[in-house]
Amino acid sequence: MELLERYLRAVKFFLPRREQDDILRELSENILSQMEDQAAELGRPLNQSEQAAILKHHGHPLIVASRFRNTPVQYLIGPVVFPFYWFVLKILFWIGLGVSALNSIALLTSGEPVRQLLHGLLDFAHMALPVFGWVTFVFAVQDFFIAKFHLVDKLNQRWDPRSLPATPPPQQRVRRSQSIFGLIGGGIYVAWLLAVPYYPYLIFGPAASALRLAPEWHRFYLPVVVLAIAGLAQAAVNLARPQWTWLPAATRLACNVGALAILRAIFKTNSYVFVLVADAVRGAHYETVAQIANIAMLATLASVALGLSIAVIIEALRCLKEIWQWIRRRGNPLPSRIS
Amino acid sequence: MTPGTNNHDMFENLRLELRRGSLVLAVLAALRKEQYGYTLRKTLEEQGMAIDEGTLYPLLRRLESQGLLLSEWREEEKRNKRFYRLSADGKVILKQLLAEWQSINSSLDGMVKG
Repeated sequence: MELLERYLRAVKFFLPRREQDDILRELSENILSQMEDQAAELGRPLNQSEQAAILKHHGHPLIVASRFRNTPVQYLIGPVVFPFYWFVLKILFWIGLGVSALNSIALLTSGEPVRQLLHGLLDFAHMALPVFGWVTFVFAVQDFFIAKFHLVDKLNQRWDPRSLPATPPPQQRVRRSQSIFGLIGGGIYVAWLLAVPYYPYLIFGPAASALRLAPEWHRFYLPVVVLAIAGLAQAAVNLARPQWTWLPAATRLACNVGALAILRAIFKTNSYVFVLVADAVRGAHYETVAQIANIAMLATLASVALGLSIAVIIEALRCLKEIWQWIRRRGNPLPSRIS
Repeated sequence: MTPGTNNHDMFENLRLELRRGSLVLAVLAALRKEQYGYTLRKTLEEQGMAIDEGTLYPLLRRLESQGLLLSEWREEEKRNKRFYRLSADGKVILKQLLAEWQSINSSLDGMVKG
């Protein structure tokens, strides 16, 4: 019975100290009875494989011991608080990721992209883990007091179904006003883009006589115009097909991804603005203005990149949701009353 | 995973859940007659209520700590064994649980047949 002794020793290790001997004595008797019973049936002593089979059927020592522990189920955050906890964690995760993405994009321009990317990931972990830890701590404390003062029971007794928020009507169409505003706003933006090459004043204002965009911008001009026209086309299509609720999110997602790709290329450009005048005195003054404009433009583009990164994540999720709902509506034209 | 496997797993989970609720009742009912762990498991198995050792033995200790069972170490066939039997409180609880179970059973019977 050497195998049984080894098994009991392994179970003992995980048992509460005060009850170890009592539990093991009883467990040992029960297993021995079972082994004797089987040996009597076979008419011979059990071999090691047969003993092992009985012990295996009893279960792993860790699991067997855990079942003898009388401690109630323990958790840090209970099922009532958990959805709020999870929601906050997810929000913080995406914000942290967005900030790190911006940081990485800005750092990529300084060279050594792989090293900078690794730094970005490490920075994210350094920033995120303590935040997650504190959030967990705060929610665990909250859960402790909720349990201690029976707040859930009190809430359950006091709540009134009539205080529940009204159900909003399901939006199954893109609003006409949204499409019209999209058309007007998009039209103005496209017109501005088309006019910029002929009227630099639209970008530089009074400094337009001395400053110009660097020639590298010409490479990005056409893609930017295409993206703007895509937004305009979406508004026009949704005016005619308002039931295509997935289209705005899909277009925004595609445009934002395109814009990020363009920004990535723009970040590789060293200078965004150059000075046009030949006059030495005025030229020196405008050189300073151009340097400030370059820095301001870099900061603006970095901010836009951050906004777009966050928007891409949000739009991707919204797009998936819209497409899923659209497919469900096609398969089941009569919406259920409760969804 | 195929739908068949899914259904099978689902059935198995629901079946276990259903049986888990009846185990305490079965153990208390079987311990109207004194028995030790292993023979109790065999009795339950013979009566169609097979139960894992890993579930039964801790359950016996829990019911004893709740005062529903009494236990006693006694020698039988040259070995010391722990025998369990229903306590006075256990008898009262068993009676109440049986009444509850019969009420559930008749309600379900009515629903299934009706």
